[in-house]
Amino acid sequence: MTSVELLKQTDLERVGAAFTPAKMFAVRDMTRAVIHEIAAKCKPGMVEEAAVEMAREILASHGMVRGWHDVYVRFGTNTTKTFGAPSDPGIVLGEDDIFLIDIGPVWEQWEGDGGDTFVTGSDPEMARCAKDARTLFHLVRKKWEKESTTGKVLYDYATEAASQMGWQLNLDLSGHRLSEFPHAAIYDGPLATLDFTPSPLRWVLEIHIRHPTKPFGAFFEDMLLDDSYFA
Amino acid sequence: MTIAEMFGGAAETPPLAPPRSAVSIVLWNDRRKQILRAAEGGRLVVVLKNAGVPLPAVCGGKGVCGTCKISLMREWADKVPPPEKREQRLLAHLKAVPGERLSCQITLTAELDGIEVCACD
Repeated sequence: MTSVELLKQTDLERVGAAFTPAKMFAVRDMTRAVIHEIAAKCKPGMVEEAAVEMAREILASHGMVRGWHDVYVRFGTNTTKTFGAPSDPGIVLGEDDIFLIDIGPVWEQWEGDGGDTFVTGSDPEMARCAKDARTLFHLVRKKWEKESTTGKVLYDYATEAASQMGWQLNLDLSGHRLSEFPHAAIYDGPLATLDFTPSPLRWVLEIHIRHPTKPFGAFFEDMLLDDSYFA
Repeated sequence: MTIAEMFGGAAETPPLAPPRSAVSIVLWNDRRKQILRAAEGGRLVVVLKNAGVPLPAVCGGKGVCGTCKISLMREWADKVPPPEKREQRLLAHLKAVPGERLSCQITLTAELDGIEVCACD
């Protein structure tokens, strides 16, 4: 790595005085727990807007009133929507359906970010989609861990691997920084364009896949960390 | 992408659309007074950011990050529609004082012509 490249990486990965690994891991744990708490309360017959409001209440009950991005609970066809896009209104969760959760809470001074996908019923394609989003996340993460690849190589690999699994990868959601709030003051760009190897505990890896012909998709995201943090 | 587009507004007025009334905003910033003009219907955060006020507004105007918080001068605080539940909760969480609001949640209407805003934090 040249000195210019090293300076660039140092700049994009810098943190503030409040940054501590312990706090970042604490918010990560809270974020993952809240995702599953929200998911457990999403039941067939529920309207998506009600689920979003329920998710906000749960986050607030854990002291996470503030977010660095909005709360997304997307049902059925809305799982194909990209980050920030408004959901089609009034979508009701079906008996054989898929839904995703994407939250970016701020706890005290530290940012969390997490996403996952769940199914109701037994639609095999939806179940495989949700499972493959997680599988792909870990495939890409392990490539980073073993080969120290750049952000760009990681997402080239993710695109190809998703295609081989029969899904289309949405590169609008292609990773980002995470830090003490707000990380946007440091770097607001994607992980997918990095021409250096991202460091652990600085980045979030996002995987959003869509069915090539049917109107559903799946999402999984977590911090870029080695295997020991995913036991 | 323009700041207006980032916050869900149109980049510019379509050529055949009727002209929208202008609303003036009195901005107090570092003890300096500045008069801003903006089209009715726009969001206050967009006008302030376009004027160079350093409001991060990292959530893109969704009312969840609190980084577009500003103060309204006392006589204007009552003229702006009251905050909805989500904004109320976030303002309380941020320990906001009376008159402080999220500028992304304020839509500029004719009734707010002349509104006085302080972005002094």
